[in-house]
Amino acid sequence: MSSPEVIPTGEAPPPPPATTLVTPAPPPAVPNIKSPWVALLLSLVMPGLGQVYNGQIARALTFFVAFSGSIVLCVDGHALPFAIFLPFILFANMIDAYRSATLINARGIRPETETEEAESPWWGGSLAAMGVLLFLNNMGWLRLGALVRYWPILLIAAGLVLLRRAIQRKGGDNAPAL
Amino acid sequence: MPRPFRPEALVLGLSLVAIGVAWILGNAGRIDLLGTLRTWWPLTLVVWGVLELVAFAIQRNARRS
Repeated sequence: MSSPEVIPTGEAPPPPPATTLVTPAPPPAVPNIKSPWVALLLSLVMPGLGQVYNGQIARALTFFVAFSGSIVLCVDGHALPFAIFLPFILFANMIDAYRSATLINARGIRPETETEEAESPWWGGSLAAMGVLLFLNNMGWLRLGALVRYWPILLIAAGLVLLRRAIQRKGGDNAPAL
Repeated sequence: MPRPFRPEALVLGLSLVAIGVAWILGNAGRIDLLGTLRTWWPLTLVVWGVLELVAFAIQRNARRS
């Protein structure tokens, strides 16, 4: 609509070839780029939202469950550790969203976690197990509330994961474990 | 290697269908919508996990052959 119409008047110069008026501007060559700041802000609004924006559903769920679970346990009378966990989870979540968006932009492809998730049966197995436990709890056949006192198992599990990673990396490259 | 299918997308679709059916039943007065959802929502996690395991198995078989 903004293309200037050339109206020949008198001995006007020859009109430009019609193709210059018809050819559309080439589409911008921007293939599906994520904005790291949008990811970061979304993660600030709601932990996991930035990961959803990045297309990393598994990470989104992990951060959301960690954040909301910490809030539930805070309210449930375990304020001491979980109130400290909350800001850590929030900031880790924001940094992860930012870094993932940057990585996706650098690679120009979908995040690698999309394929990594299915590399191990643990992800699917733990999802299904969590669902079964929560369902049994809802049906009243199990009281998960009684397990809250065993929350330090989470610390032990995290420590074991880090140990396993450190041992695995020893044989490979010398990159730091974290 | 790409996954044979995307479990997240399947779960999202199935969840929407299930919520829609439950909502219709709730509108018809057959069930208590919120109570039903509150009790049964963990099944989405179970279905998701099973689909992830199926995707993993298909992927592994494809890699072996």
